Amino acid sequence: MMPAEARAARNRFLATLLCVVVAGAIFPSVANRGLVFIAGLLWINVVFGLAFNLLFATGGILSFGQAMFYAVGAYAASVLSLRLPELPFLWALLVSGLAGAGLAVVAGTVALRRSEGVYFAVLTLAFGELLHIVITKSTLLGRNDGLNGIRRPVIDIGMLHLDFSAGDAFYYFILVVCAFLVGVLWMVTHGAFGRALLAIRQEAQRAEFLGMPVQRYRLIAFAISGAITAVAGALAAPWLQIVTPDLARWSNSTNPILFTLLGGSGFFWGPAAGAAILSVVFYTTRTLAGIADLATGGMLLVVVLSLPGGVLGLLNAVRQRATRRHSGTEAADG
Amino acid sequence: MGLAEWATTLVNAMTWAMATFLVAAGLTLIFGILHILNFSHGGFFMIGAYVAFTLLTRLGGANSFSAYLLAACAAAVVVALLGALVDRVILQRLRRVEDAYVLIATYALLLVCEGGTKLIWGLGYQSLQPPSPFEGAVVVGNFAVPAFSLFVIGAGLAVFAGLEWLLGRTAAGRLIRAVAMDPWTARLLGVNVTRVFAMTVVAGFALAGLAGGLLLANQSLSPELASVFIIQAFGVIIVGGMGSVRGAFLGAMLLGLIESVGSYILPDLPGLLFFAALAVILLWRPQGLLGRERGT
Amino acid sequence: MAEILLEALGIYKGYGRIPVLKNVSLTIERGESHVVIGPNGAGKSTLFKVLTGELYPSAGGVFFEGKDVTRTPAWQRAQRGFGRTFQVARVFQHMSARENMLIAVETAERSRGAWIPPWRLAPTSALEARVAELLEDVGLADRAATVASELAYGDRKRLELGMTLALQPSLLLLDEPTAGMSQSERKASVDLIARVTRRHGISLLLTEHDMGVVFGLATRLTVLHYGEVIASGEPDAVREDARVREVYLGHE
Repeated sequence: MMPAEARAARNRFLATLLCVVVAGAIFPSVANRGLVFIAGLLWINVVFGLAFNLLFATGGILSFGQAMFYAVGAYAASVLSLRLPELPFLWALLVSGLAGAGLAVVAGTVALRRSEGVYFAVLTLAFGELLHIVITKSTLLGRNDGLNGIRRPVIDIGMLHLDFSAGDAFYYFILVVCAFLVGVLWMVTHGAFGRALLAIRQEAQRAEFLGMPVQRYRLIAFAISGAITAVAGALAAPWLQIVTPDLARWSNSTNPILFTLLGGSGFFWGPAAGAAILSVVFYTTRTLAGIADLATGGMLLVVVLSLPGGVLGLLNAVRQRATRRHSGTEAADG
Repeated sequence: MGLAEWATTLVNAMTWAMATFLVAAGLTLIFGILHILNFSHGGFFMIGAYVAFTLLTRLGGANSFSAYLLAACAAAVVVALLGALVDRVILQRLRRVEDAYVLIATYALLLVCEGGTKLIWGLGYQSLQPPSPFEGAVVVGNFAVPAFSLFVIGAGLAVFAGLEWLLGRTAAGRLIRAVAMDPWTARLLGVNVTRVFAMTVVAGFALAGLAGGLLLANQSLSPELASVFIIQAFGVIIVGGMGSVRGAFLGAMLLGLIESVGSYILPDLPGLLFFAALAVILLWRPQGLLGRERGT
Repeated sequence: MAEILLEALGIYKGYGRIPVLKNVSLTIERGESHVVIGPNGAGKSTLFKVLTGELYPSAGGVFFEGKDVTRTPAWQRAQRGFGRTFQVARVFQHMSARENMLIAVETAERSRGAWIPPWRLAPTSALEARVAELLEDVGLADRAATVASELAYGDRKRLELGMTLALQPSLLLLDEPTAGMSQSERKASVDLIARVTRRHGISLLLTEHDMGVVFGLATRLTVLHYGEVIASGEPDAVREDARVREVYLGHE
């Protein structure tokens, strides 16, 4: 990308991010507490999905075990909050991130040996289930009941005293941190490392013969994704105020896959769009057991079979046809 | 470990092995021919179980052995029909889709199965007592074996024998094996490959339904059944070699032993050895014990 | 005495029970253009894979600049100075020629130990200049913005060659560089390879089928037949070798 183009893309991204953050900030003044709660989870899910898509779209790696990072982050933050309440929350976030990265390095070293799609997917799934077992057997982690009573933190940065313990003030913290994480993910995706990952995805052997340590880069990507997912999980802990082993189960691993496919994996904001749509679906179908699964499964099938670009892909195609302009190369990021 | 413990461990191992093999057989058959790892297989297994359950509890005869077997066969038929539909509408279209998306599609299908099950049968746990001759325990000397475990072991062995005969001794079986090995050449030789594909898929689904019906009394019934068994089945066919029925059988026995021994020596960490074994195989010999290496 | 750049000693390699390479030894001297020829199935591709690190031999050793690289992974060999092209050009299909070259240049930078900060989204002007220079070198300057999958076959091969040059290799291994080309494309290709290797002082090892290319480029020849070296030396000497004649002409 020429410097001008790069700057334009970056500004477009920052503008979109700003709009999203502003919309998010206004939301609590027009919505009730229940909806604010869901919105808070939405931001966390957006990061969850985007971190998955770093691996999937940029790295060409399908991970069926992202829940393990989410759970590691959530549990790390919870344990620190309950056992070491004097520890500032920001440190807890850092520790969670590091735990996520560490787990990714361990799991990745094993799983990436066979990065052929199916094997890696099953290995990550297996790792996730393994972690789930470990959690349910650990007394420190509350066994099957999990840990509850996690309080929303009070954060002191320098002269700033931020009390998020009351009401839904923590929502704003989630919003800001998630926006930051989205920015980090964008930077990784569009910088030299993201380029290298994309190259590996398209032609791993060529990358290897250019001197790229392909496995190492994949591991780094996995670690970044794991760290960011863990931080998202760490934000969820005080928001949910309870963490249960379910967070590590396979069903949670498939959430980011759903967000990404539905929204469109070829677009940076795809997972965000998918997370938003699915939030609506889950909310409106929460009363009738099974409808959510049916709706989600059905939508996914439609996407895979006829709309591989997801919702954003559909919108993009409609927009292109509507403006009747011939674009030379297809825009791969929004 | 005393003799009684050894025997119990062995019986547990075999029960787990044969139960998992019953589920894995259809899965590996479908993989062998379509090269698709079907996440939804667990879902159809679950549907088979629920169908058999409904038949037995609504139409009565839950205690009779023949009714139990009949219900299992009915479940096989129902799921086979569903399988034909799924093949037509979804699996055939997946032929042109990238690998990663195929996995996701079969996962989506699993969600549909789970959703449908929850809608029709609700979220609660159900269970069924084993049918008449198999409800108690068989006592041999020092130890007791649940009679139903023996049924499960017998059923697994019977299905394995049946599949061995089908694949090894019949024309249909030869066709399936030929197409699995080299569909292009088979097509050149005039084989209606599409029909063989469809036939095999339906057979695989039928096996899933049958397994559901046969294993009905083995565990409690809930919409979570699918995800529990699918992971076990994956493990077994990966260890044994994807696409090989014998591999699935071998893998099942090996993992069954590992699971059983594991629950004895590490009761606080169930499944740890299972995943460890899975990881080891994937790293050391990814094509599985009896699988064939696929290019790179 | 010419300096030996790459040496293969007693390479054995088989797939399962089928032996593909049997006791293959050859040396590449600095500055030479060494061509490996042989009928299909002789093991040329396998030899290539062993030399470049795509495969490890079951027995024997590969030495680069005197150091043992038999089990060194391909990416490390690339960093040490091996450049490798494929018979069917492997480039990054969905990226433009410029982006392809950029990846190569950035990777070369990192191999040299330079660190590219993650927040730098666009490459420095120095790197851009190098990209332009390399594209110019292989004659693709005017097609820099074309997506690789839309490039003509010959252009894709040029691109691949250019990307390999970004590493500033001391040895280029080309796997049938003119495969699938017309006569004129072939000549252009040979000219490009000759020019580039001369300009940058790169030693060459390639496999080929077209005899015109072989005798036009080669300073030394090695003939493989059923996984064994049956002749190796100056082109004229090899041309006269009885066994070679029998293998190549005896069955015509």
